[in-house]
Amino acid sequence: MMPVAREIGFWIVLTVAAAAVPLGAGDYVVGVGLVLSMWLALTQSWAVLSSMTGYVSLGHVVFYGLGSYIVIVTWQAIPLLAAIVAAGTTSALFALVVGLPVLRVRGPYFVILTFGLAELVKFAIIAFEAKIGVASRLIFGAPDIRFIYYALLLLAAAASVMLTVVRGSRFGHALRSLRENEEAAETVGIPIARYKLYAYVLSAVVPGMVGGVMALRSTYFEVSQAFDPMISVNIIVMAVIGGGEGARGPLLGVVFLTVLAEALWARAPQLYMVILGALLILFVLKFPDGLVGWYATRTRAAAGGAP
Amino acid sequence: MILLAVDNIAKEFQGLKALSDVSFAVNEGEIFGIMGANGAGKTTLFGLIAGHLRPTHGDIRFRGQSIVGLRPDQVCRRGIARTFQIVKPFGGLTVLENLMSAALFGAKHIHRPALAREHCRAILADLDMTQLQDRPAHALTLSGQKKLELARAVATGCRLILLDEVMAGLTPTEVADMLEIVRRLHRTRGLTVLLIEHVMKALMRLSDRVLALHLGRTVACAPPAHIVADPRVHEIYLGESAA
Repeated sequence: MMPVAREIGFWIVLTVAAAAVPLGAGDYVVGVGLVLSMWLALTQSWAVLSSMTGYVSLGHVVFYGLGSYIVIVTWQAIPLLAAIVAAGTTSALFALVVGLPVLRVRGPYFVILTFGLAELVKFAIIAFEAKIGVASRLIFGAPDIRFIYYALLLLAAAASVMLTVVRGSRFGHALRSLRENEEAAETVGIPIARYKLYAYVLSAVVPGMVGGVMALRSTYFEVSQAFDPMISVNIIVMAVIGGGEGARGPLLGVVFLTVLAEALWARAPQLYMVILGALLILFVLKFPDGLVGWYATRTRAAAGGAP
Repeated sequence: MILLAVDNIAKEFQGLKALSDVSFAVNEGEIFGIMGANGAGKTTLFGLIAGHLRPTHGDIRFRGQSIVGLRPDQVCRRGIARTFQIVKPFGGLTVLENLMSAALFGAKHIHRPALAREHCRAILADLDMTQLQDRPAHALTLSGQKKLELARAVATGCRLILLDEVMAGLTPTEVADMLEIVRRLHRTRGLTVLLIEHVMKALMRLSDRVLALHLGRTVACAPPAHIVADPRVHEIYLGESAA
């Protein structure tokens, strides 16, 4: 077993350090930090389902989008904190309802299904908005960027700790077992349907809240932006590039890609997408265990151990 | 005392009768063998007992209670574990972690990881697998994976273990080794064993009683000596080899 307590300590230290950043930095740095936290929160949540169980979700944006929508719809009608909690709850409930049927299919079918589900929800909401005569919504009185920074930082920390705890727990051991062989897992007493559902619901909560907070980052809200499939893709690329099963892999992937995006976004946005694709292919083919795996192999080679 | 009672069990797959009206009872502490040619319904029978399949009719009682309709994980927690003919290891996990899954969730349900690990290490020691404990399961040889399959089933803390051809594909030395392991587990852990085996010599040597199935029906159920002498059993087997 890995030392869960020490791992949690690592995340607390990192969070405290990151909390000090806005004190001495300008809006640009805070803005980048906010984006880092957002991706970290999303990727760690995704990993609770996808890294642990092998059910790769290509539709995690659905939770993000639902959360956004809840916060926007209730904006200035209920307190923001309540709205964010409602955003997380809505995403969790949605996962709970669709989870049982969706988690019956494995492999590529699950990937396609989650993608399709996210698109379905997106277009359903677009249709609903059109019906009630809303094209896009303007947001007045959104909170300060620093508030958003701290909210996302907390969510990133929560998601990282959640992944760490799940991974070190009996529940996590069950998820890992069913990832390797579902029939065998069931045969040794693991209630696989229930556990997969728990993992799915757990992985939905934080993205819902992240979406809720991020909705306030801009001054207007558009459904197709909140449900942008690129968000799902980005999550996967970050997780793959980071690699490993723990919470530190996604951190590496998120930092790497966010910095890359910052460097390229303004100058050559098309180039960013091309590089993203190329990186994904490179990592899948050459470093399937991501940066974490690559580093582990290198240290082992340096120690003169394994061939 | 009867541990497992199978009453008039039948299983049809879209009209195809895999098993018809099979009944038998296994006593606590017994090694009970099941023989029959391919298609006799042996593995179907295991699937029914372990909860992977639902019988078309009939009842299965374990320690006096019906287990028909329970899911495989529930059956396991009641105290029945099975191995698979085609091994199903948790390939990416280590040998010890494979056993841990069973210890944490099986009939024993050991919630404390440290205790579960101790329990698993003892089983690995019993099977002479201690030196393999940190090896990923996919890196084991076939005989290693067959032993792992057995060790993992034992780690659930079961009272009844269903062994589906644990000796198939092994060399004669490995078969002898496996035979010894099954005997030892039966003796030291007080397990009741239900055994499907094509290696006839092993089956006859191990079993207290043998059930012979043919095309889903019971041909005979008797001690090995009687089975060997039974003309009906001969007919099936010789008839097969002549065909």
